[in-house]
Amino acid sequence: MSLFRSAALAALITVGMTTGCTQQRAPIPEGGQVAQSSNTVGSGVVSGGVDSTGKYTGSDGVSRSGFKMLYFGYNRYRLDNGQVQRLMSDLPRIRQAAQGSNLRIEGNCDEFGTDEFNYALGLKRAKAVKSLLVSNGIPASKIAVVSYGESNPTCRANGAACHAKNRRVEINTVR
Amino acid sequence: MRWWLLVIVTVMAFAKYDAKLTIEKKVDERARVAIVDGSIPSDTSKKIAAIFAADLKISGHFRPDEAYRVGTYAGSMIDPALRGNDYVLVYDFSQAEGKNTLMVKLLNAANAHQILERRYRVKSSAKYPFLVHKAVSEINTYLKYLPIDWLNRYVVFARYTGRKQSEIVLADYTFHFTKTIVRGGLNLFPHWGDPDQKTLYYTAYVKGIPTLYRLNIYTAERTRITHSTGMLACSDVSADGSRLLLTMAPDGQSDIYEYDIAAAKAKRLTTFSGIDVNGVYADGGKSLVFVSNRLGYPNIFKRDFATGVVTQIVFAGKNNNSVDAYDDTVVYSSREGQGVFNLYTAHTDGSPGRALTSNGVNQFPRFSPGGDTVLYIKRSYEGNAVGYLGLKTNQSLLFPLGERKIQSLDW
Repeated sequence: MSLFRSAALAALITVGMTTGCTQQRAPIPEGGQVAQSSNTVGSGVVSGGVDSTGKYTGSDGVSRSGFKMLYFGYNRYRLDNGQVQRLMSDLPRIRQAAQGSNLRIEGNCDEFGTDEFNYALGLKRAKAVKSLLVSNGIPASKIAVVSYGESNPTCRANGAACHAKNRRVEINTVR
Repeated sequence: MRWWLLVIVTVMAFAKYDAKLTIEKKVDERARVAIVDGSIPSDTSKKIAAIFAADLKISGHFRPDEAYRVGTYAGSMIDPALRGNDYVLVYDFSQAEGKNTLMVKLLNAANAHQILERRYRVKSSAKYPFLVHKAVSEINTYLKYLPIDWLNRYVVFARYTGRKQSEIVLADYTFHFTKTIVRGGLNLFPHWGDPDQKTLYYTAYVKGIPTLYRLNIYTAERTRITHSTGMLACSDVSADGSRLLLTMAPDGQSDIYEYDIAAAKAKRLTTFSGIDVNGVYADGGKSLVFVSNRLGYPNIFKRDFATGVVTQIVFAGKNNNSVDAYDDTVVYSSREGQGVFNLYTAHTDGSPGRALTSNGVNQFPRFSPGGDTVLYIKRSYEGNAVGYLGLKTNQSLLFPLGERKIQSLDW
């Protein structure tokens, strides 16, 4: 093999290594990308977008018991200020419900991530919400937390906003 | 200055040439096998040909001719077109009197000399793939190749069937055979309880409370082990079966516990306030490896049982969220942005291993019982597939799984 062809081939190999392999279609965006679309795809209306942390920015999610769903960024389990305000706006009704029933706080995740870590992430999200409720006067003994991981999606379509809708906590009453 | 450039380029040219020779030599060492269906042709007998080809290929010792060929089982005549192979494998699959029978002959392609003949039977027609796996593992052993007995094992997995609904399923490694053994409600994290695959542990949500059960898959006897609010998963079983590594969250905080089955007591092993999950025994039981976000992102750590000291063992990637271990080797899944998950090996002493995949969504890595093959799930919008990577043979196979999402699996 000539020296020229060896050097050219080496250069080609180097270029190939730095550009990486062909990417499959990206199912979710990385942090920093913002999806602004309002669309209905598959099951579930997606009326909001996604912020730079991957958190759903819509305000349409409501649990079975009628309390606002709370949303989290990708791989995150702290409530940001907006979500804290969203929870506080429901606090009077939650307090009233807790007088007659127990509460179950259910943590959920998107479909990415792998088995145990996803369920633990969902649990951390539920625990963050419980902490805030306990800090605001609801007895800890009235609140149970559980993680459903990725088993309970509200949106099954492909797209960043749909995946973000599933990264959430739901507050429900139980007897 | 130019002389060193000449030396480097010359070395590169010859190094590439030597590597090509090495790769071709390894490919040629595999025995070439032609597969002939000597049955009365049927859909099943055709599928059996494909399973034979897959088994022979994944063994790493054979190079099957994947063309579908028909012939006669009786006698030892070989089509002259097949004499370029090392072996000819002829089989006859039949179903009669409630039995499913597979007859297999291995012939020397050059002289038609019969090397071996075997008969395999099973009552359940759905289990015909296991007849093939048994035949190939025995042929492999007879020819004195390294064992590939894992072909005969069940894979157990949980798959979602709806919201808060999942079932537990047994399968052969190609997923041609599947049988649902637990259904109704949310059933998660199945894990084999013994090397002979008679029992398995799994988590069921009972009135919203995660509860661990042990199930005997032959008698259907189910024993309640323990429960935990929040979450509960059995991630590993000790070699003697007496202890379990559990991820539990009794106070809503997920940590790894070691559960003594006889004493019915759990000992907490991790205390980090974030996420510690997926504990797996390693280094012959002297340590456990696990996933933790104690450095701010999911990564792989080791805890020594004797000293309690925790050390980081993977130093690449920023989202390594699933791990399995075989002795001092780990395999883990790493998220690399834009929805890409790749598999890597590493070692419990912190030394790096190698990349096993290069693109796509590759998750749930699991070692075979002998540690020489990795099972994993490859996901795409077109559907899921189960993959196998031979760590020593570098052979790989993918089998379609359909669209239902796998929640967890064990091998």
